Amino acid sequence: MSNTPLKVLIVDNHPLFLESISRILSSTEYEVKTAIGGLEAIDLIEEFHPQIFIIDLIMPYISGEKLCKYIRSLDTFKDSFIAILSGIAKETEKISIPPGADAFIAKGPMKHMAGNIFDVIDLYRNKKRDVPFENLLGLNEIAPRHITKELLFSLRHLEVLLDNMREGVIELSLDNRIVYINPSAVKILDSSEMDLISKNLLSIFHNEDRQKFKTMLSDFDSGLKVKDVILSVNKHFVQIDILKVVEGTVEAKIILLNDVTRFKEKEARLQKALAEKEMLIREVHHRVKNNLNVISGLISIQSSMIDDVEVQGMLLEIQPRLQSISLVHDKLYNTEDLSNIYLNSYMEELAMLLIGMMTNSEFAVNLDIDIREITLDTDTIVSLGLISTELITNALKYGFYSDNPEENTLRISFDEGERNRLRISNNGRPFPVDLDINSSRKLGFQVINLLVGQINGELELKRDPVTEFSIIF
Amino acid sequence: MDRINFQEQAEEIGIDLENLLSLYNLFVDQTEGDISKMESFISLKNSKDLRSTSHHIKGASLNLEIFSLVDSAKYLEAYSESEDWNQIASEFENFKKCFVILKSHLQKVENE
Repeated sequence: MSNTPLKVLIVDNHPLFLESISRILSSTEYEVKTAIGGLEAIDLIEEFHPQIFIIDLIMPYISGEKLCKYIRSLDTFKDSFIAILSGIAKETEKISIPPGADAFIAKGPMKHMAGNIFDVIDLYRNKKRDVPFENLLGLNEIAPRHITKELLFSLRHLEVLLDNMREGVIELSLDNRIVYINPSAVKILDSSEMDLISKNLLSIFHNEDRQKFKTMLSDFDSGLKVKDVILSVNKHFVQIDILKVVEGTVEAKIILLNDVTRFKEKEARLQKALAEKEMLIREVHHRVKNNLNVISGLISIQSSMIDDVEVQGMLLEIQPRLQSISLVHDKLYNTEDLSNIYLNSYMEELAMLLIGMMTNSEFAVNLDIDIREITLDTDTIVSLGLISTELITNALKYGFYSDNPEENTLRISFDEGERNRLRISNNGRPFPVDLDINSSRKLGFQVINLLVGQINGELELKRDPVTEFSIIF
Repeated sequence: MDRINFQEQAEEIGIDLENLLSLYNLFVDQTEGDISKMESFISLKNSKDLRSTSHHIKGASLNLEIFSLVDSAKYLEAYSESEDWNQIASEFENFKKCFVILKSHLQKVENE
């Protein structure tokens, strides 16, 4: 026999069992270390390099079975001997021995366990492995018990569920070390289960991802709820929830990872399609605006070829009407919202456009706009634009005496309410008393009355102190 | 409660008496903590944690062959499962009595 002591690592979450077995092996033949759980054992094994492991089957965080699998995944421990220690040995009709274990010891009175532990040491020395029935030690020495059997059944049941879930599940100890990870989470993290077990979760990420997880975990630890947080992890978009689990004195964090990469890709494709569609609609508005301007230009050329001043004037009256519609398309081309237009900026630009068309160095008008930032739908804006064009054109043509802009004011205001009211007023010459706006045969008023009806509105005229038209809708 | 012959038990296990007594002291310390937890579980009617703690005590006392506590813990485990709080209260008193007897016996042996 070699004089070098045999290295034995005992892993159990119960201090009494740790101490009991340590005392049994308290001779110079053995060098014994103990670990109070799977994580502590993993921290010890590389440095201590045990030849025999005695591991309790049921422990919080990393179970005996998982620890056994971890040890067997390491090449350096392929010759080590693993004995599983548990109170379940007599409870199951068919004893389920964790893959990779070499012997199974029933927990029971110390005097029996002591003998069984020495038997395990003999098995190791004689290189008898692969758990034949003779390696199930101590079965005839204990009475049947049931609680662990139920526990194991629910554990197996849960394992099947977790192994087949689409969602990734990671269990972390309080200091963020991975104590459980299911196959879906392993796939998302693009690693292997045994490479991830016992690692600090943050250590498997780099730079930005690590910072994001760090913030999320510290938010959770400080009591904030972490639910439906979407992060990019290893080229996956993952929706993350964190839950807390408290079982007696053991606390853990459960991270649920829902891989939403496919949905995010679909969403990106839809957003791209939507952006393309919006671009096309804008392009259509741009072309309609340009075409209206072309028509306006053609009318201008056509009118210049007509000698009859009255006919020429009638043709030129069409131009501001076209401009008011063209301005709507210009607004739709230049704004994000393709169905609503800001009334304030539209009315201001329309009035400026008409003033520009109808005033000159000898006649100027002061413009006063009082409309807060408000949007209206396109159809309403087109109708209001055409009505306003007629009223502003009339005001500019007939409403002012003076050439002095200080004395000529065109005012446009808007009051929002159950019924909105757009007012267009001008000082200067009063509106003719004999002109009935509802029955006038002039084209301008016919257009106004038709469009007011289209928006289910009413037209009101106040002659005093200034001429003021109100479109109520 | 059967008198435990510590010397004989130590010989059967193959450790010295001092080592065995230190294991008993560890058991006593652990169980004292468990008893206060169990009192809280009983007052909160937390049968799940009471059952789990009883199960652990049963295993530990079996390890040291303290059969009076093994039996009592076994009953506590079973009554917790059926949530029979009257039986739990009565068995818990019995458990504490057995534990006090163990402690005084241990103390007496240590003082000898």
